[in-house]
Amino acid sequence: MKRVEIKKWGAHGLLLQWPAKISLGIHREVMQTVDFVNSQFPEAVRELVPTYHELAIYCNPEINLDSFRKKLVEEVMTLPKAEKSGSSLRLFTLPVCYAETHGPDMKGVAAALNISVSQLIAHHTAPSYWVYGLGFLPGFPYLGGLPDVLSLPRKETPSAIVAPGSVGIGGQQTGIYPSESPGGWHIIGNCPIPLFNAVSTPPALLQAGDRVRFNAVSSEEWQEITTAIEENTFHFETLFHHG
Amino acid sequence: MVEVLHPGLWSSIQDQGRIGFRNIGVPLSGTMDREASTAANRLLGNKDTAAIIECTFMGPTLRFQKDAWVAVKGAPFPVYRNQQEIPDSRPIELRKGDTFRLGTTAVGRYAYIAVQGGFDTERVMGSRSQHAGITQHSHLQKGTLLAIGSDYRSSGTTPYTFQKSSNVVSLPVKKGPEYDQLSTNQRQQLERERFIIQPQSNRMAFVLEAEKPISVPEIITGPVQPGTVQITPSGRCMLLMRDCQTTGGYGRIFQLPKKAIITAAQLSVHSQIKWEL
Repeated sequence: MKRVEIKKWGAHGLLLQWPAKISLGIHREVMQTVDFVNSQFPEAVRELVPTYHELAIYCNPEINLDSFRKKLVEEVMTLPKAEKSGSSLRLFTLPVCYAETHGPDMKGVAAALNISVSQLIAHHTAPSYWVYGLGFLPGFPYLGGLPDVLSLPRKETPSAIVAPGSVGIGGQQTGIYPSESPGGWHIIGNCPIPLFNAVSTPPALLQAGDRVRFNAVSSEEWQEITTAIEENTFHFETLFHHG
Repeated sequence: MVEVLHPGLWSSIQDQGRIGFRNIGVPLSGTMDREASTAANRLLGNKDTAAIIECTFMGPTLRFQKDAWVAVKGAPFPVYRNQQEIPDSRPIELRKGDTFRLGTTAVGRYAYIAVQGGFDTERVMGSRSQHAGITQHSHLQKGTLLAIGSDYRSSGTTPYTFQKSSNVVSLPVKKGPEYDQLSTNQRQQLERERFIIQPQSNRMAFVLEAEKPISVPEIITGPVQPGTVQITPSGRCMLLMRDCQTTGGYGRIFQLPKKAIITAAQLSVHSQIKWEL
């Protein structure tokens, strides 16, 4: 990996930077480095935060940051580029209800894009999106891979409150709000699956490197899933498979 | 138990923070003035990890339902036992039924109430630090009952004196990831300008404004951490604090060293900051 730079950043942090682009190829290198550092230096590292083209490594305060940086420079720069990221090859299929009750901005967005609501749903459920990282809110996935036809600027004035589970589009991105929050994206649907629960293990449903597809469901199905989750009878393992 | 009779302006249970979950977007949290909170805990022989009450500008009123020792460190909040103002340089002995209150501080921002044994509140993802969406409440509520734990370990004391800051505070900074993208003009302006702390500043970020703001374009979302100084396209400066997001899309121009983050945390509204690179 010759195109990575490693800088000291903050008291116990290192910032690894690849060229500033949103690209699957670069993100695969980021995730490959996450796996490498996790397996080679579990003692030195407390937290690894991967994003599109960067990786923050927050180290154990007891280690010598300069010598750890030097070691990483030697080892990461010479790391052969893997064909595919190893650890995480999960593909999630998440139900989304695109009915107007769940997607208040749906009609306006379809009109702005000059397509019908059913075309919009077909485009949004077509790709498998790549999770470039989690941030902004606990469990919030940055998803890449939105079809160009669905790209439109964010709201000029963000909404004060967006409901948990809201599925939004804005710019080149799409995503799901795990909790109630202000938000600048256009809300076209709602996903009944909680993306974050502080008392679950693990607390976040998704992780960087996962892929996500959306599956359109009716309001009735949305309600059934919501009830099953409330009653603890929902089978989360049916949401994803490996490969 | 300790009953919260009045929560104060924004009082929360904090410890050393929630470590190990920034990869899933969970903020670090923990006390804003780590020196003051550690000194208060050590004064009582508590472990450094003991949970403590962080008070902001105006402290809470508490009723102790059993005998306890408490200690207060941080900004100079007046301290009252049963409506009577008392000194706070030493551990304070409280009897069952006593009320204990921190008033309003004229200088600084945060003070800490430690109890011998630490507060034994809910622990979520390895920490008792309160945070919206993670613990049941984001801060102390009227009527909350706080249990007292047994987090002792005599680790000696740490001398602590609150440092009253001058009107203009120089904070040492290091270059952030986007510093090199600034023009020479912008760099000079950043060194000249005084940045004023705005009232909406909180545990997530201190919002700073300058007379002649400089504007920095947004970046592809990347990691941020406490002490990161971001500039928005509209020219607002954000100094990120303990509850900050783990990622952000504004240009990261500076990074504060640990000690400077603590100094900044105790600066009140309208304090002026100069960056010293």
